[in-house]
Amino acid sequence: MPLIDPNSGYNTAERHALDILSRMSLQPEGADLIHARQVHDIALTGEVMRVFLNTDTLDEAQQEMLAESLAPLLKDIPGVERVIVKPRPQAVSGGRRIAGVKRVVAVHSGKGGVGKSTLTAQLALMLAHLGIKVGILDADIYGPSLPILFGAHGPVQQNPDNQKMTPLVAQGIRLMSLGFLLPDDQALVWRGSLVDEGLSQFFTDVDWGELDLLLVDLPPGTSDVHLAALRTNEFDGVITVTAPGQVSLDDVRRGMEMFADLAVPCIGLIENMAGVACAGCRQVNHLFGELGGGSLAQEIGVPLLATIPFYPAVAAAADSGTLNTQIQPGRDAFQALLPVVERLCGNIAGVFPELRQRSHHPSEAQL
Amino acid sequence: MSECKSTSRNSQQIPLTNIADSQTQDNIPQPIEGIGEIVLVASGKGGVGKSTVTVNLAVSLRNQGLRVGVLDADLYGPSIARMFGASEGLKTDDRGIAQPTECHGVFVLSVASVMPPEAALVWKGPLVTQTLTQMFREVQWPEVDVLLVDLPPGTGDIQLTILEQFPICGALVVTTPQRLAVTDARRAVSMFHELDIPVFGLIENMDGYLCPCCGEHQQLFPSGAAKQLASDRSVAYLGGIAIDPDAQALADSGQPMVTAQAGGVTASRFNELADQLTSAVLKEQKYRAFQARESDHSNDTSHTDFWEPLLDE
Ligand SMILES: Nc1ncnc2c1ncn2[C@@H]1O[C@H](COP(=O)(O)OP(=O)(O)OP(=O)(O)O)[C@@H](O)[C@H]1O
Ligand SMILES: Nc1ncnc2c1ncn2[C@@H]1O[C@H](COP(=O)(O)OP(=O)(O)OP(=O)(O)O)[C@@H](O)[C@H]1O
Ligand SMILES: [Mg+2]
Ligand SMILES: [Mg+2]
Repeated sequence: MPLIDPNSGYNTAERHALDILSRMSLQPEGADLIHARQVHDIALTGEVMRVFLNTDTLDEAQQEMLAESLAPLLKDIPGVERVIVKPRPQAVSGGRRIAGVKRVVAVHSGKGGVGKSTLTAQLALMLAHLGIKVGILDADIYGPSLPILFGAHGPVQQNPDNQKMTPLVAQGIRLMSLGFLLPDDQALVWRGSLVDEGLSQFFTDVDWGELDLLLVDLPPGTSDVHLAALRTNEFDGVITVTAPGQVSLDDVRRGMEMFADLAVPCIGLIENMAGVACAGCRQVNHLFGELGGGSLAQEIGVPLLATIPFYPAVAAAADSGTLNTQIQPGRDAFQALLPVVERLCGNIAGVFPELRQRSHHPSEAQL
Repeated sequence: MSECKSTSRNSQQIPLTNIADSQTQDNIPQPIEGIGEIVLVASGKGGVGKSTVTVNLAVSLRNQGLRVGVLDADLYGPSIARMFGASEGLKTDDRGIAQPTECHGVFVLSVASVMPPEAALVWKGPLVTQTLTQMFREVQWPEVDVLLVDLPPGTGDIQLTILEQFPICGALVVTTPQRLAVTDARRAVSMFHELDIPVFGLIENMDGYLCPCCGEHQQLFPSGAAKQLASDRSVAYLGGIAIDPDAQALADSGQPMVTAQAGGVTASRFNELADQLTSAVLKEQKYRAFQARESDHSNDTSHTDFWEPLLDE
């Protein structure tokens, strides 16, 4: 672990905190918390200062002791309202990756019904048209949406060689959803303990083949299901979706915190359902609030990837499994998502130069 | 869950629970002191308006003279505290026992009032059970006639735990008009039916909206599926609630529509829904009383069944 360098990328309050930490040590004559590598990192988001402790160099009693004693010391720093001292984020997946899948990006929101599934499907369609091999894993086991969004239905075939399930293919995208396995009116009721076991199995027993990108459509909230999804395969990043209203922002913020705790980087925030244009007078009504996404993005320090209005045509297409008719150059939904795709392609291309040729400016793509 | 197996060759490997098994007949949950009837507000899909419905129904019921409590069981995304404007922490009595906060005449308990907004909590199974037990049984609930419980979406751990551990009178299922939401509502209805919990009705929220500028009525979501579900599953269709352009701002600022716009269209819809709910609960109470009498009789018969052979000897 490299030593923290206060001169690299920390703001004033953080440097102030580092200064305090570098004058404290656990033993009277011992090295300070920074040089003893006991503090892994610190970060100020909004008015909350987080101190991440290094679990390799501190036992539990020491961690507890530090949690208690550091908070009051750092609280007095100007701009700091609350202090959270916690063990450093641990990637729960332990680096597990799905064979053949180059990148995994999750789409999440702490709040329900903000458009995760619809946006995931639209993004996949856009990327697929760029020649990127995309799959979607529907991790919303209690409310799977892929069957309707793509008009796709089971049965799912099993590959006789490795006993894995073969994804369905619709509109050029490989899909797997528990909705393909369950009858429509069957509720899936899994206890927490079963979630761990059953989900891991469901997530790992899919034969995706070669994929450039797997999008994972997560359920809302912060539950066992999210952990299970993450445990079975490492997420390279998460895109967070929110509606503009405060009710949504509260929950979304919690979701973002969860992924921060799990060491999954946030690629950015999408504000969805930002206003509806009246079919009669074209007046835009902000039925689900206004501007909340931008302020949350700024506060947390993540990019706002796009602000997307509610398009009744999209809702109708989503219901009839024809979102591909909306993902056409010049259509509202397509234009609104362009910045997200650019960002994502930039992200992917950064890691996979061979994709760069294919992921040219999406608006020029032949769709 | 035999149907399940037939749809997937793989399903033998996936441990699906048969939910009927998970509630044993002789394991009837104990009543909770002070609490009359517990009614769940559920949905399959997220964001369809469960919390909005819970808050406004609660105030409506309260306006009808009932004593009402609201328990926010959406541990993953609690909204009740914000929608009631109950931001301050929990009060405790002199013995240190937590008490619900009174807002707009309703007693409100939410996890959100006990945890800071940025505390990300991943609720693992045992913690869910423990927290719910605390909220239902270890809080000083005042006497309430009805306790509305706002659930998270889906059919997961929280729903199961509540259905198993607490005496539930019945459930309302909220959906929005589109198939994406109604399909999930169908799964929720299935869960309740399998566990023998009465579904008092289906509420179709966000059923169109009136443009405040030109008065144009616009259907945001394709519709028709909710009524179909109600008739398929013999559940009462309690009607629609239109999108109210003021709903978001009022929810964000902690003002129930029923109070802030008491004379409005939306408020009167909620008042009607509250009437429908009270009559459903009364009907359920009558049915239970009837059943209790019936089972007394059946006790009599098993009683005689037991004695008869002995007497013969
Ligand atoms: N920008 C949009 N324009 C029109 N309709 C939209 C838009 N975004 C989402 N919708 C519609 O809104 C509803 C909710 O969206 P969706 O199901 O994608 O949300 P979700 O976040 O995945 O929900 P859940 O939390 O239940 O998984 C759907 O009917 C969807 O088609
Ligand atoms: N009739 C309505 N008119 C306008 N806005 C509404 C209406 N009902 C709900 N909303 C808004 O829609 C959003 C979702 O509603 P709400 O939070 O009540 O849903 P929920 O089902 O409780 O969601 P979750 O699944 O996340 O718990 C909120 O921002 C709310 O203010
Ligand atoms: Mg979804
Ligand atoms: Mg809610």
